[in-house]
Amino acid sequence: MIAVRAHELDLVACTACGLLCRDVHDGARHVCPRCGAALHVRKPDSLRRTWAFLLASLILYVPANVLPVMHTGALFAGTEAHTILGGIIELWHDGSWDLAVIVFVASVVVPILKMLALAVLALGVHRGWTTRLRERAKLYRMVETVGHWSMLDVYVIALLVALVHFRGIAEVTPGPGIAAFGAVVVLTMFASASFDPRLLFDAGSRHG
Amino acid sequence: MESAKHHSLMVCDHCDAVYRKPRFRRGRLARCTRCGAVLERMQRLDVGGMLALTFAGLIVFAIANAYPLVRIDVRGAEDANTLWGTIVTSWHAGAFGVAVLTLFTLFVFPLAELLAALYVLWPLALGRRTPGFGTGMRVLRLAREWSMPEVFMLGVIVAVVKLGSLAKIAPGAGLWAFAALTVLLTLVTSFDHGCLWDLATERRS
Repeated sequence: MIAVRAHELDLVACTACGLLCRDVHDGARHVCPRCGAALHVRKPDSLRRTWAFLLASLILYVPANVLPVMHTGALFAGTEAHTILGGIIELWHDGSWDLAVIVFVASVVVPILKMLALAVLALGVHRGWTTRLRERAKLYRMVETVGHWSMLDVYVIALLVALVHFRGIAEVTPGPGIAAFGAVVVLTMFASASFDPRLLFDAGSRHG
Repeated sequence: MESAKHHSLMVCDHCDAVYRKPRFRRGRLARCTRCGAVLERMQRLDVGGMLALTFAGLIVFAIANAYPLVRIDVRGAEDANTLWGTIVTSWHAGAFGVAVLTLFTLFVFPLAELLAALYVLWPLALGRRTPGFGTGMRVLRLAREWSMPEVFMLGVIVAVVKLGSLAKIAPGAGLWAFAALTVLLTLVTSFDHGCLWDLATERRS
C-alpha cells in the first residue's frame, strides 16, 4: 500500500501535538494554532545539525575511553586509575561476566553503533538512497530507544564516588574521562533528536 | 498556517504518511504501514487513572529522595547515601559533569515530568482545561526524553557488585521507592500526547 504523504497534500503535522495544519508556502515562520509550537515541514537544518553533533561526540569519544574515569585508593594498595574498558575487564575477572556484558553493551557497543547508524542514515539521505526504507526507519527508532542506556557508566561512577569516601581506608575519586563520556552520551542524544526520519522517505517518494 | 480542520486525519511523525484516525478499543496500538512506527496508542486508562498514577509517582518520588538508597559498611566504617548525597558528593569530588547529569536526569526531569502531568491532568479530570495546557504538554514532552531512572537502577546493581569484595552493602528504603518510581514514570511516559491533546480540544469546545 502506498500511503499519501502530508507534504503532497500541502499539510503539515505539528510534531508537538499532532494537529494537521495547511502549509501556506509563504516562507514565514508559523506556529501551531493549537499548542503554539513552531511548525516545520521538516526539522530545520536536520542533516547539518546531526553531522555537527556526531562529529563532536566522535572527537570526545577518544578522551572518554583513553582517560581514566576514576581513581581508587585503598589501604596498603596505593592508588589506581581505571578506564571504562578496564572496569569492564575487572568485572569479568571478578566473576560477574553477565554484568560485564551488560556494561560492555551500554558503554561501548551502544555509543559506537549509535554513531555508525546515524552516520549511515544521514549519508543515505545525502545520497538519496531509496531502498530498505522500512529497515532504515526501524534503525532510527532503535537508535532513539537505546541511546540513553549509555548513561549507565555515569551513574556507576557517581555512586562509587559517593559511597566510597573513607579517607585512608578506601576512596574513589572521579577521573576526567567520565565527563567526556557523559558529554558523548548527551551529544549523541542531540544528534539523533536532530535527525528527521521523514527525510529518508522524501528520497523514496521523489524517485517514484 | 492555519488549522486544516482535518480532525479525522493524522500523520505519522516518522515518515509523513497520512491516515484516517483509527477507532480502536483501549490498550490497542496503531502502527504506520509504511515505516512501522507507532501512530497512536489507545489509552488503556482514562484521565482519572492517569492522574492517580501521577499522584502515586509524586509520593514515591518524595520517599525515594528522602531515604538512603544504600547503606555501606567498610571494615566497621558505616555510611548511607541518598540521591541528593550522591549528587552533592560527586560535585565536591570535582565530578561536575557527573553531578549535573545526575541532578537533571534523576531529579529535575523526573520531577518536572510528574508536575507537568499533574498540571495538565488535574483540570482535565474535572472537565476543564488549564490555560497553560500547551506549556505543560511541552514540559512533559521534553522531560520524558531526559528522565532515566531505569538506567540508574541498573547502575546501582553494577556499583553494588563492584563494591561486593570491598564492603558490605544493604539496600535502603530509598532504593525500593526508586524501583517503584521507575515503574510509575514509565507508565506516565507512555501517556499518548495526541490523545491528551484531542481530549483537551473537546473539553474547550
